[in-house]
Amino acid sequence: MKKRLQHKMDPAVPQSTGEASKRRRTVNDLAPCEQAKVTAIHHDEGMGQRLMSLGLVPGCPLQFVRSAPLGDPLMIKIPGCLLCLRRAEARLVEIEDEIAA
Amino acid sequence: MGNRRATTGIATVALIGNPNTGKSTLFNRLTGSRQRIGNYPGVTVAKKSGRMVLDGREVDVLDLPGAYSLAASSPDERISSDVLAGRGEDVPDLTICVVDSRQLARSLQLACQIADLGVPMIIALNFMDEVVASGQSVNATLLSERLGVPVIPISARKGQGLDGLYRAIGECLQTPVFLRSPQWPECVQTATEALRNQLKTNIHLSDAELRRILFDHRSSYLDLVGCPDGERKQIVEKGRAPIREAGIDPYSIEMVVFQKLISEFLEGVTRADNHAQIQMTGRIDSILTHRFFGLLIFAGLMFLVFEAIYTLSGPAMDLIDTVFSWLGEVVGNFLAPVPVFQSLVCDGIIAGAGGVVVFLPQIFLLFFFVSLLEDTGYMARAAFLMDKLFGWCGLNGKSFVPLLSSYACAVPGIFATRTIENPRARLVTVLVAPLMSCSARLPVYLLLIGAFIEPVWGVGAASLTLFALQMLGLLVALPLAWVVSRFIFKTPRQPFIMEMPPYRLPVAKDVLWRMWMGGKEFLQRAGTIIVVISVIIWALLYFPHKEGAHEDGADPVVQAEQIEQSFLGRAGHALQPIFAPAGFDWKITVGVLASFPAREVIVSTLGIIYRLGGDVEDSDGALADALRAERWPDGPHKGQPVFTLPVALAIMVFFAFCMQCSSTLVVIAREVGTRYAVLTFVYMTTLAWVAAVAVYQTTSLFL
Repeated sequence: MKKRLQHKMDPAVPQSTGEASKRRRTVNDLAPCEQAKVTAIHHDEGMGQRLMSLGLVPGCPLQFVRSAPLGDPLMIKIPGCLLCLRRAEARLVEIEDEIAA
Repeated sequence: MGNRRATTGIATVALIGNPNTGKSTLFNRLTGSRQRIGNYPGVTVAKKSGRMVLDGREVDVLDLPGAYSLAASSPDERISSDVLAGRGEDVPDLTICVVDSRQLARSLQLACQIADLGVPMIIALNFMDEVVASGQSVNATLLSERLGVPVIPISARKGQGLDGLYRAIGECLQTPVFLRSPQWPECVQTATEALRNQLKTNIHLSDAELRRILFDHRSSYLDLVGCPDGERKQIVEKGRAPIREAGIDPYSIEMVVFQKLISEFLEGVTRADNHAQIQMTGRIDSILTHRFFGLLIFAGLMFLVFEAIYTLSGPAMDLIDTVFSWLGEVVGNFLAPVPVFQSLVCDGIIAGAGGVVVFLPQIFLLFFFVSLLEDTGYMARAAFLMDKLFGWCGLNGKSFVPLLSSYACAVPGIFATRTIENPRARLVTVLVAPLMSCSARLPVYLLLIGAFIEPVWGVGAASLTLFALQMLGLLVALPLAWVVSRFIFKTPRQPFIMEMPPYRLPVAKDVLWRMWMGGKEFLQRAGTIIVVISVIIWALLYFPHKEGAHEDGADPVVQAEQIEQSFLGRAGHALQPIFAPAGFDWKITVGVLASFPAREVIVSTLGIIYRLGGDVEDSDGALADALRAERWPDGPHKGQPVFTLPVALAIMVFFAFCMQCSSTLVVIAREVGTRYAVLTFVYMTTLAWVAAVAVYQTTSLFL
């Protein structure tokens, strides 16, 4: 994908597509302390822009810290700050394993 | 429209910045007017302006609403960019972008968007004192060279660096300077032209404004050109086509371009040496947000805060009551020759003023704890822990503290909603906060439970009833919040994205400052209106006047007759049929009506109505006996007791839901707008009536 951004019009949750039959991973799929890299941000109204303005842009490394005691929201760490976001927003952040990248 | 400087010679400087960057503090520093600090995110867009003196010349300062981005999906959000683009009444000659130097990369995004509009700008680097204190540094000179505009390190709170800022403002008003604006990829330039051709409008939109339409979901600039709803999507999509053809996502392109630019700007400018602080924060978080211990500590802390607000304020409030009744007596003796005037001053004005001041201890205590929780960074953790409980109904984790404080009193509780950044979530929290069982409801519960539940069903049932009544408001509030968000405001599900600040030690001076400001604002913004309302209610109870009813040591029978034939008493008689389905007689109805300004007066009002005088207390057996002895004088229930268990329950449920607090209404009107105060009054009163009728009718079948 290099520097080009993924072309996404559909705001829906990433779903399995033809070329890659397995579902793309999002921040929601991470386990506590797991590290990953942002590959794409999906847009749900202005939500994607808000996430990007907080620094969640493709290429950004992130670490899943923990989820709240009741399962939602999540705490994630990106360079320079600690963020709290709900699972509904976390599903818009597509990731890949640090090593794979 | 137009530039004022050309005609009046007075230049205009606009202040803009992200929320919580200390923009209002800087505004107050520059203009010397300290009326408002804090954030009231977007509910009503207030225009704040002031005037400063620079080298002997006057300069207007315009405080624009704080925003993370110029992206606007409503005209409200478009205000800042409209003013900057010269669409407002005043066209700024210079923009001061207030930047949080602790969050440089993020804060500079807004600066880039403003630069794209092509307006002259200087950058004020706020919170530099904190950056230095935490062992980090920002090379302002290097940053200034890169950006092409002056970058002035300041601390608005401490008033540091302002001389440099004044100098820069003066120089830049002479010779405007512009921030290096981003280079848009070829496809964006093509798309901008394509969109311009598609729109075919008489209103001239700049390239930057057209780009907002391309980059944002549902841009409000389309409202500006009066684009018909049906064609919107097509027009914008046609404009976006060149960007999409280049394989780029139009919603992401802006942030990608900016972040690349900003990382170039910041290369070697910042030096962070706060690993120790970050490590410490991580360690504290692993305990304070722990699945089990986190919740336990949270519950303990909240209990402490609540107990402190509830118990510590008690003695201070008693003292205020004593001082004001003493004052009333002293002034009363002096005015004794003119009874109307005496009663107006003592029972109306002084009592009303006392009713305002009595809130101060709770407000001070609440602001003390709220600023302590916020300044240490714990507030964000509390919101993180609690969000799941509140998220489903349109509120969020930050609603917890305001709702908890409303259990002591809704007035400070509504002030505490200022900590909620999301305007929708804040509004819904304000609307349901008065349902929380505040301490003023306690006397009526204790009176009626003591008179009708405890003697029959025992102490256990009595405390269970009290607990149920305390929980009632909360149990109704959350589903109600869901209904309001979903069906009345029809807001899409609100996001909850929050930055968790590192833990820090609070600074005593800041905490005291916020307490002081909280109290001062309450007095200024709500105080006078509350006094006016209490004078109106006084008049409704005083006129038409019966001789001797308001004198000291007046006969309880005369007092009772006065209340009965006053305007309010007549209204009680007239409105009794409305409350008949809830089992209320006219005396209860008068009591209920007289309690609308402040529900805590119900006990003393009932005391007067039942001819015991106004000095009765809820723990006093005399009033309970009088209530039990009361019989219907006529009608279908003639000779039967008025106060049966269903009636007592109906009254308590009515008090649990009813909006009987003028101070709360005034504070709601001041904080989020008059129409929401009206809405709160109408919905709570309706809810109270429906619930009271339902309780009376159903319990009458069984009891």
